[in-house]
Amino acid sequence: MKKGKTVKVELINDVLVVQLPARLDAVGVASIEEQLAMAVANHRGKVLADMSQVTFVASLALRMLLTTLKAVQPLGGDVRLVGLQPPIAEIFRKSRFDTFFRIYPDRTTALAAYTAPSG
Amino acid sequence: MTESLLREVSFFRDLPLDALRSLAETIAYRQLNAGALLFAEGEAGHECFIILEGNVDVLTYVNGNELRLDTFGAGHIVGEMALIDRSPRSATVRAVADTKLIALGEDAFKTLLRSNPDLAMQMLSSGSARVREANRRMIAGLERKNAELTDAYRRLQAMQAELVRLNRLEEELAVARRIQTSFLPKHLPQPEGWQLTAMSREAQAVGGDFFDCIELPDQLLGLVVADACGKGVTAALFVALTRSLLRAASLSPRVFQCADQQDAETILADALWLVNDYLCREHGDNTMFITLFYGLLDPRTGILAYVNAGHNPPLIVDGASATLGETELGSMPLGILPDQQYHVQHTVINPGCRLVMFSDGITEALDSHSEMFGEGRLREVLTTNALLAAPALMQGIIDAVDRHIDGAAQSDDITILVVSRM
Repeated sequence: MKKGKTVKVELINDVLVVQLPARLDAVGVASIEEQLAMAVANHRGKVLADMSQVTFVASLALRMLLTTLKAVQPLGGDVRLVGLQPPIAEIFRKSRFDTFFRIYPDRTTALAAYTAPSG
Repeated sequence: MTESLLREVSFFRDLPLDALRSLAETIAYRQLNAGALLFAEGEAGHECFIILEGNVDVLTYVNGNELRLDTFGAGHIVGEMALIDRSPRSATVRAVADTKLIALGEDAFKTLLRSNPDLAMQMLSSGSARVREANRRMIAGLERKNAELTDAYRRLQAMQAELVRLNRLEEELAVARRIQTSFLPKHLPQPEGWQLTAMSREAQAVGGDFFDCIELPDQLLGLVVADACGKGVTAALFVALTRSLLRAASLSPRVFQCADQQDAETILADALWLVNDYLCREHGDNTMFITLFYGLLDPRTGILAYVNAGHNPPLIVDGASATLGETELGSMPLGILPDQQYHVQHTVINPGCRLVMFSDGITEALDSHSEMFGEGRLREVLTTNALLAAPALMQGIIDAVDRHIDGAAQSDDITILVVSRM
């Protein structure tokens, strides 16, 4: 694992909840992507990325989320996002990544949707 | 009293009593506080000293640095060398703790040695042992220094090799940069009634942004601004691939897509389908993607057919009213999902309007406090300079961004393409 930031990871029911750090620039992504990939590879299921603390996303951060999604999808898993601050939501809207990920306002809603039969 | 004290000194243990008595008459006692000097290197020496209590450091100075040669305690003799060879003191002697000594003058010292061959022999033996020890230490010191020098030389060689390697890398990057610059159009076409201008400035040696202007049949102009994920060499390779594929697919629709029709909509939709599908199928494992705006402008009518693949929506400035419009959002960036059908949208660039295409390096340019330039400032610059033609308008944007970052390192590649209609 690279030195630097670590991702706070917790398991709520069968959902792996990942708290992403504030600055997801090239350095921020490099410091967490290995840990995130390992956590997701071990979990092999539902992932929730809590972005409520994120204030900056570089394209590499979008790529990291995309890689995570592509890693869990073949195993029947999913990556969903919660708590996007307005400027971050705007980046997702303009890049159309909002059409690729399911995005929820907060953890409670997202966890409820994950457990709902249609979720 | 003095005689019994002298008897305790190992040197004088076997000295005959009469010799001890005459010695006792010639000696003087010395008391040194801790840290006090007994004598200094280079001084003339007329006495030697025998330590009764405490201890002293024998010191020398090399390049201004103090070097401790030895430490002597009770029973040891110091300063006798200067008396034997009549040379100045070869070292400095300083008390470590409070120290008591007896001082022996040159005449008394010599008389003592002459009349007591055993004592002379003992002193010679002690002197030889000191010389041997000094030699041993000097050789060990030299060996250590030699090892340090060898190690330093090896490190220097490794650093030099690393420097050569870095220089070579730097040269290769410079070549890559030249090649990348040659990928950008050297001259932008300037159809009658229109002005086009563009620039791209990398945050690193090579960039992950590009712009293009593809001159297509029937006077159509293909306007492209794109931003590959990440920066540096990885992004630059992806840019080279995407730019070449897009150009080839747009210029030769018959070859690439067996398409007979060459209207703007077909060229856009088919070229982007091909580029995206190629990136996904051939390079999908890298999870690289590229955001790209591709517009086909008909300069005769001002009609712009376009597809936006996840790129910042270009802005349209109306010079007369100083108002801004935003082009429509489109689909996901290229390189993520294969076999995508691209929906072509339309707008019109009316006389007096400017189309401003840019990468997020403009809006996300950071100052030294990590504050973004932001879309608000961009919109302000555009409305303030709404009447300017493309070159001056672009310069106004770049100047505003540079004022904002105010000398901070450029955080992302910056690309901008401006089209103005008179």
